[in-house]
Amino acid sequence: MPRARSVILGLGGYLAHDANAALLVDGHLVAASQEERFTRIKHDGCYPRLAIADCLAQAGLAPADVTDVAFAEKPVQSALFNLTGQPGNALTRALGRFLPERVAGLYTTPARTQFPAARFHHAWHHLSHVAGAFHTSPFTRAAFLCVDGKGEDYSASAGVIDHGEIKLLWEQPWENGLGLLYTLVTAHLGFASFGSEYKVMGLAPYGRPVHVESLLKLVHTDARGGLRLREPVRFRHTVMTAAVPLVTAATGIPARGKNDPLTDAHVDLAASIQKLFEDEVIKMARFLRADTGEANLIFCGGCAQNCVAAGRLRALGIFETLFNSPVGGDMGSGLGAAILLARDRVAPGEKLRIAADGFYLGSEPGPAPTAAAPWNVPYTGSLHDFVAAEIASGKTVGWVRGRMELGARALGARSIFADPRAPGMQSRLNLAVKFRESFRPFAPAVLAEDVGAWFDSAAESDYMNYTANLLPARRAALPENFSAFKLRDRLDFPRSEIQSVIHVDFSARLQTLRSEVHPDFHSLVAAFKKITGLPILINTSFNVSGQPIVRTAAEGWDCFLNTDLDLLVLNDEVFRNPALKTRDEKLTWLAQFSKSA
Amino acid sequence: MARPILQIGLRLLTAISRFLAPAPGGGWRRSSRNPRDLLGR
Ligand SMILES: [Fe+2]
Repeated sequence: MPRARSVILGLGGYLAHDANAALLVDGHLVAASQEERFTRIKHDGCYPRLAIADCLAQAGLAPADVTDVAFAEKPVQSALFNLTGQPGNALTRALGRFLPERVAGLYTTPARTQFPAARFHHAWHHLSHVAGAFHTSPFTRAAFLCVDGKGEDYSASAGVIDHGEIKLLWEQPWENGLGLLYTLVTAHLGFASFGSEYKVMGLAPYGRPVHVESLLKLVHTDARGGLRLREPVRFRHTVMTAAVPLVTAATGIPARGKNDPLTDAHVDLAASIQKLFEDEVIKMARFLRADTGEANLIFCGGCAQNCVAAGRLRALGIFETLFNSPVGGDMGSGLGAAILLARDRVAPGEKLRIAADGFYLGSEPGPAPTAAAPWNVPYTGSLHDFVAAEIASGKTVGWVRGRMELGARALGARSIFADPRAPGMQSRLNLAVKFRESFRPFAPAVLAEDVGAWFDSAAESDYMNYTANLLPARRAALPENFSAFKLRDRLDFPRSEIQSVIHVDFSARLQTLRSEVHPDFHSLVAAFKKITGLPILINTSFNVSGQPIVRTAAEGWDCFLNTDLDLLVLNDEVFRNPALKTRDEKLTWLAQFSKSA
Repeated sequence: MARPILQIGLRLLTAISRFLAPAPGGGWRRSSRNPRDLLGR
């Protein structure tokens, strides 16, 4: 193989959360993964040494081959902001510009030690998100809207990107913006641990958005989606916790403790923050559409992980086409920084196209552990036909096959599958894996060619990045007073044939499967459809609560032994659950992860 | 010796920053960042 000219290692999330690494060899994306999958600490923000090693191993390269290291943040700029406690201004920005990056010695030391000959680069955090999304999108030009918790000291950035040439037009240069407000309400609702916002989003359909006006008392807003809290709240845990009473004061709803029951008022508050959030994002998009006149929109940043807002944004058609990256959040920040640097070396007017291969960018699971051999289930014919028949007969299946997916969601390489028609499957699966009930339905994976027969949007959602609604013809008739039912009764009321993947408002967070993007997963669901006529499976991540998604076959086996799942697929082999452990042993195993849950 | 100087510098920076900080209130501002700025070595 000829020696590569450019080997760019992108690093993100280091010293923060979701540390990740990506490797771009001569403009080709070779590998990317998150450190948490290796250290087994959820959202781990350490130097991603193991993810880096895995990327290099997949490329067949050594550390000495790395020519450039691109960080997805400007630590000096962030540090200046953190030190002075002031939002970005001309002075801190100028200082950030002229101070040598070596000032942030602590930050880059591990990388400089590991890659002494490489050049080092620091991208604006939001532009890493923008580049990562744009260059894996079908667009050649688009407006971009990055709404993020915080990148350096900015909460949102917007502009136009044309063949990779970025015009940065607008910014909200403070930390206490829309993302922070969502996180603050999330903390108030008793979900204080990092990355719990999706729980609030999942809770929202069950409530009524009656507290929007009260929440708005906490912020300055305008017609263009400009939003800033009146108080100087920050993302630091102690500051955030101290600010929770602001929400209590504004809404009159007491803060919920971690283990307190969810009251109707809490559920209504979840619905309210979600409504407020969606409305603000829509205002931002309308403003940007009018300002830029662009037809396409790249929606990225941590807040773009809110697939309900993305789904609503797409359905409204403010822009003709919307692209919401599966790694729009911080798990793909290193990938974005690497692309941003690679893009700088492409001739102007040319788009650097990055094939992300369905974002299956991690490594293979390796062989099944020998301890599993006695429980091997022999089968004839194709694996997909065999497993599909098992699922159709009501079995729950863990699935560890092919390269691991990048991002927060299991896309069918490290997943649990089940039949969405099976009565009680939502609680059965929750009890089998998490040993507790959950109000949130699972996500349906639907064959792309059949999605229009079930949902009101036939547009792609390759990576579970949008929601859609069940077609009215597929819904059961609801009693007139349904909205007055207690939460529990609304949950249990039979609303559709595929109850376990449909929210109480008939929305679903779906993944559409195309054979060219998800060949393996598509084959499985196609086999299931051949047997049952239904082109839909439950897809949920293969992990227990609080644990990162499993990576290797051995981890898959270990997790399997501690659940009540029926079958496990490791590569081409199928195993049945030996049921070796007692319920208490499983709960003890589970408890080690609940600290971070 | 270096520590007090650093602290005075930081206090000065904080004071000037407070003075230059954006006024309260939200809203989009025109960006003044250079998107090509990667601060390479
Ligand atoms: Fe981010």
